[in-house]
Amino acid sequence: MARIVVVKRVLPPSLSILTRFLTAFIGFLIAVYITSVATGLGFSETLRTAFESFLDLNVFRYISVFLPIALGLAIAFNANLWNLGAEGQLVMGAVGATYIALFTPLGKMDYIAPIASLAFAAIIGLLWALIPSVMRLYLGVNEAVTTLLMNYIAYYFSSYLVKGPWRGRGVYGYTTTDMIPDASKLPVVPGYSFSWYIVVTAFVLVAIVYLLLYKTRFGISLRALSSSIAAVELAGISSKRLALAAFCISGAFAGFVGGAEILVYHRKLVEGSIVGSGMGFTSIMVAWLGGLNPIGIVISSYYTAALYRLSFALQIGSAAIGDALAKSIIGTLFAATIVAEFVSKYKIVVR
Amino acid sequence: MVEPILTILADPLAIALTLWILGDIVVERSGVINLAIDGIITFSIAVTFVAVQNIGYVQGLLISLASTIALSLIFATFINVLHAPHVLTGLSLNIAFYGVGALIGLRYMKSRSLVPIGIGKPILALIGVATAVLTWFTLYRSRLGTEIRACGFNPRAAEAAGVRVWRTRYIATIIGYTLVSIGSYIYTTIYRSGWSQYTGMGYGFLAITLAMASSWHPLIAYPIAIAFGYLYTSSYALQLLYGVPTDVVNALPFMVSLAVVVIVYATPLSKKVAMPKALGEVYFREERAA
Amino acid sequence: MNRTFIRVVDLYKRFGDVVALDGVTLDIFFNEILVVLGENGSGKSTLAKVLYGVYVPDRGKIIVDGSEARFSSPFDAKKKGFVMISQRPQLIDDLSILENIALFIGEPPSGTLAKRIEDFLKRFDIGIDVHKKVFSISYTEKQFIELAKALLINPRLLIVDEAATYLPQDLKTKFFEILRRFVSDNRAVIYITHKIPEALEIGNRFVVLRRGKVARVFNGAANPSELRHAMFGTEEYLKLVSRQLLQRLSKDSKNVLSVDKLVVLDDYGKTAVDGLSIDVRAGEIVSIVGVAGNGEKELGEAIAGLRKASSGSVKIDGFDVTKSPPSERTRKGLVYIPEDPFKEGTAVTLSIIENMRMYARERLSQDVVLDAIKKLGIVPENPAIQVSKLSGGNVQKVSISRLLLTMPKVVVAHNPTRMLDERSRALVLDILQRFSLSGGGVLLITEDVDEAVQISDKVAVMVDGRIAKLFEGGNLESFRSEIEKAMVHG
Repeated sequence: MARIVVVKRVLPPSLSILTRFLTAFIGFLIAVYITSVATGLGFSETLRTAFESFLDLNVFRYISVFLPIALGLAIAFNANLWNLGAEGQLVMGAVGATYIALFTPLGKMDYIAPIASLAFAAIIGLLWALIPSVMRLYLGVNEAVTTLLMNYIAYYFSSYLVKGPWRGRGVYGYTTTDMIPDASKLPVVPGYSFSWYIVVTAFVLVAIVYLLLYKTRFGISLRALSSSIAAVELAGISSKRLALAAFCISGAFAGFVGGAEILVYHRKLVEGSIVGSGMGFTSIMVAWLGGLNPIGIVISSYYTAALYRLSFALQIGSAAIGDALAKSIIGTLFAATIVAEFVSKYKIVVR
Repeated sequence: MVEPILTILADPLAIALTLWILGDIVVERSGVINLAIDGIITFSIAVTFVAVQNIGYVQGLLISLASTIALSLIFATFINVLHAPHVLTGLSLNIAFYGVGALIGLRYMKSRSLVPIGIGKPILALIGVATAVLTWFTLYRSRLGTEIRACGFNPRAAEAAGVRVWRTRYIATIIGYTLVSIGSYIYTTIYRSGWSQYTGMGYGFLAITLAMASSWHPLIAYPIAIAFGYLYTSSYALQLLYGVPTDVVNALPFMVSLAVVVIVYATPLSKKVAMPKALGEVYFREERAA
Repeated sequence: MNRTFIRVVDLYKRFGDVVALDGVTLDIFFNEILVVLGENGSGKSTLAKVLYGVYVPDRGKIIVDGSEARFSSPFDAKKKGFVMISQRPQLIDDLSILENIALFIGEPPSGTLAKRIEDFLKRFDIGIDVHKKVFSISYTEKQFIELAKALLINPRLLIVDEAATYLPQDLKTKFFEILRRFVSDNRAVIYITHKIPEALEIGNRFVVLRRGKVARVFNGAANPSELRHAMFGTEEYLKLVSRQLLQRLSKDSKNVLSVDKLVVLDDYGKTAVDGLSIDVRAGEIVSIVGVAGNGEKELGEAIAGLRKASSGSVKIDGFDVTKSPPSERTRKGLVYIPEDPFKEGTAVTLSIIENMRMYARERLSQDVVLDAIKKLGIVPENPAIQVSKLSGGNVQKVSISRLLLTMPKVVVAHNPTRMLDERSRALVLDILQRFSLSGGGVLLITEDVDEAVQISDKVAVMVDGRIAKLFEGGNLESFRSEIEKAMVHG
């Protein structure tokens, strides 16, 4: 009887990168094919739209979500902390930004309003992440499970706000708050739905996170946490403080993005599941797809953003089908990258 | 006296939850973090709904079983053969399964609801109890169960004792997801009897949490599941009687299960937990031990 | 005439950049105990694991009874009648003895099986409740359970990978007797060890492995010096400075480490360190020797802060650190070299230089890093290489490099030379000596009596979590046999 055995192999870095790009490309073609079948458009027509979506400036609308969150998550994941709660941290950040913009005098001050809203969004995101991190570090409760559950609590909390106490006066049947004041809004690029301010901030964060992770003792020790907590402690560095910092940074980044979504895109608070719409979950995969490396994450968030564009560019039929189609494609592509990871690290021997 | 207790024990949501948690326990006892359960439950609810609506109740069950197990085998292949990180695999597959399930549901749905199955309370209650006891017996008294638990505690030592870890984990996955599928069937045809996009999302994560809170023990999981079913049902009464907002009621199970896990793991109770130590470990047989 | 039972042909196995088996060919005859000798890293354990189906060889064949056997897991090897017992008992701690054995022989853990096992164990004079969880039994009991479990399925080949090395002498003799009885009747034993006396005691024939190759085969009698030469070759060793020449003025110096009435539990809540007290003064080397499993591991971890002390105290340089996390102890001047450099000594996913940057409090220049790499003889000399790609000995050297990069007051090292070849071993002992000469205190926790008597001012023998005997002053080497006796009998 033939048996399969898996053994490790070491590919040179160039070949390993090539494998990843090749898988990404093949995955892309498969996605285009599935889409063309599902939508009834011809393959070449779909392919053209797909390429266009890679060149469409509106990819920045998604990059400005994925890039900062994934950078923050990369810090946490590098430290072996399973923060699966970016979705909820994003939603809570949105709630925080809305609070400053709508319910404090700061919201009506030019210049100060967006800065204060975004800062508060980051703080709320941080605090939301602080809860599971404290439970993990001081009580020993698994953070993957708690962060997952807290996403839903954040969803329902924001939903409660927009249906109840924060519900706008002029919104008729909709469950949203009122629009935030003009002073709080960040200008979008005309004809598109993103703001250069956020995009530039995101790229500044790339540089900061890169330097932090690879050039400081703090970052090196942080990355060491994933292979050995004991080694870090024995080197004289408090692993708890490191882990707490990593967790909080990831929460703050996600919160910041949530705030930006309100200031740039929604301009009012809507239900959490719409603010987040799974992008926090997707960012987890973006971070891994980029190899938890800031530069890699730039590429992976571009790739994922383009696929998001594609799935919405091709929306035929109801929005519900479009969303389901987007999920199918993106989920499949993420699975494909896991296969790529396998191919570059292992080989199968049939005996 | 008997009647109210029976009502609690035969609550279809509680029974579905019981089966989901038990299914999760079997899979996680073999050492696999089972995050994909959320996507698979969402998928199997959608498939059950349209299959029952289009073909029939019995065929619906069979189709649900076959497709659920097929998806779980994909998951098991990622974990075992592809040596993929468990959490990442679960999250990626979830996104895909939510999508594919919704596409199938939207494509084949005839109407938003179906005629619920009428099934006697004693039978439902019996399904819950019997599955819990059977799962316990399989895990703790049979050769297969010993192998499954061994893989969860220490796959390397299990392999050295002649257990084929891959094979055992595949079998655990099939058993577990058979239960999950039946749970989804009960949820769809008895409890909910309706469907909209992504119905069931979140229950999988809840099941994982409650499995963890029960220290992955079937006989502890059963009362927890029943209590949760009761909590759900009565929380809607809260809403009706006292006007507690819907969203608070919806968030309640998540908050309570969070609290339960914190209580179990943050107190001396955690010392008693024989948790599968290798849970989430990417097991590569040829890894050199130091 | 010797009849061939198993023929191993040109086995080749590599892990990343490390070649563990480099074309090994050997025969195993019926009715013999074949000893495979070699130092750490010579490939002997890899050979055992390939024979038991744990590793799949990259190349080469295993021929059993004249036809090729292909194993893709121990399950296949077991079907051919091969069973392995290793130095670390491969039992599942959280399952009961009964469940472990049931797992192995492929039956449900029933009451009748329990009865059968208890009867079988009585033949080895082991009266034990088989419903006990494995974590609650002793190391010796575990090894005999492993042996009994193997014999229960009536195997044809028993692969013993250092399984008797750490047993007390009387039990070892019993273990060997069982093996000798076993090999009659068309069966065989492969006995793997790095100890020459042990090899000579049990073996019929000897195969010496060195760097993944068969260095020499002894068909029949062998003498220790020949075996030794085959194992190590003709490398020159660094001469250790004899300790007597270094007796310095440590008499009145102050304590840099004081351990007072320390009680520590093991992973399963059993008392491992039982009210132990010991002091180390500045400029002094104190060794604690003991057979593995007598609490030395827990002692080291409790001093380092990796394990909680249930009572007693630990002071570093006068500061009470009993409640402090390891990081704070390190900042107070402790350096702990853990036994396992992969799990606790280094971060294997980082490069050499990144590990060193983590150890050092100040920024390190490239020169300092390169200098440390050279001094320790880390191969390859590239500081950017990932630690996981290095061989075990080199990973240990990276872990030890912190001694050169920081200025501690006291060093606690647990089996620091276990993974090292003789040359590197001498080098590390030399570093410890120099450190003590410069006024630091050293606590060396080791299984190796040789190195303890070579470099220490005091040697404490640890048995059952206590100091059974303390040897100090004069020529410690002359106490050697007494020390060894104390280690076994307390």
